Amino acid sequence: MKLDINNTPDTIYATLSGRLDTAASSDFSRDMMPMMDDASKHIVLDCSQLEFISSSGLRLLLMLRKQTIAQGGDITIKGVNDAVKQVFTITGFYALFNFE
Amino acid sequence: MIMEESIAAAMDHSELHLVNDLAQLPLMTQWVEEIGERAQLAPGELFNLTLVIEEVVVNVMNYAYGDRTGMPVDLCADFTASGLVVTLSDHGMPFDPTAAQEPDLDLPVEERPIGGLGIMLVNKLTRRVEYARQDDMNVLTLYF
Repeated sequence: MKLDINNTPDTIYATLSGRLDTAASSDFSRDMMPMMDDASKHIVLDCSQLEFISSSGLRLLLMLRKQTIAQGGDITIKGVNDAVKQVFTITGFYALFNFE
Repeated sequence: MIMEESIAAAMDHSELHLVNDLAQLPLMTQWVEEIGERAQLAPGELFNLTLVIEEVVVNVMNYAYGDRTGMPVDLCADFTASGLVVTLSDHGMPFDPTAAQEPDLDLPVEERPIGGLGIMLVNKLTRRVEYARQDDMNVLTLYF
């Protein structure tokens, strides 16, 4: 798992790549803090290089989504592959985020 | 002939013995990739197999044994004519994940519970799941 964040005045551009499984979730939880702290902004999360996600990763994305609601921001998720999209769909997460 | 049969049997069965420590998850991922290769799964099928096994193993590692460490979490895979069958066993407290209630997907995001997603994925991405309490063990059988 690798998370690159580019924080601009209005928008956070983030790129998530690799595997967001349980083994990676504590690193992601730490690495996503700049987004949690600035969740009043528009967050664009590029997932085109995200290979895998499990419920541990979904939980952290849900925490981030709740934080954006609390702070008045929003999240757009871009470029998820079909297998990852299926996980979002089965769990009802597809309705919780904007997808591009 | 006997030797050939025993080799064939060994090819059709694979086991992995872990303890309840999340640091062992990379071993699990590697094992799942090996059985996926042996079962000649398509990439999407391997994704689903990896996801389901991670969900059930992490659940056992996190909850089955309470505070006790170094406790067994055992996996075995059998390659059958009707598909791959994976069995997960632990000696922890009785827990039937097939009886767990799935979360309500109609709740607004603010009210969404953080848990319960794993079992939903397991139910959707397997053909069948069976639970049994046998000899003080939880035995979960996953049919792919």
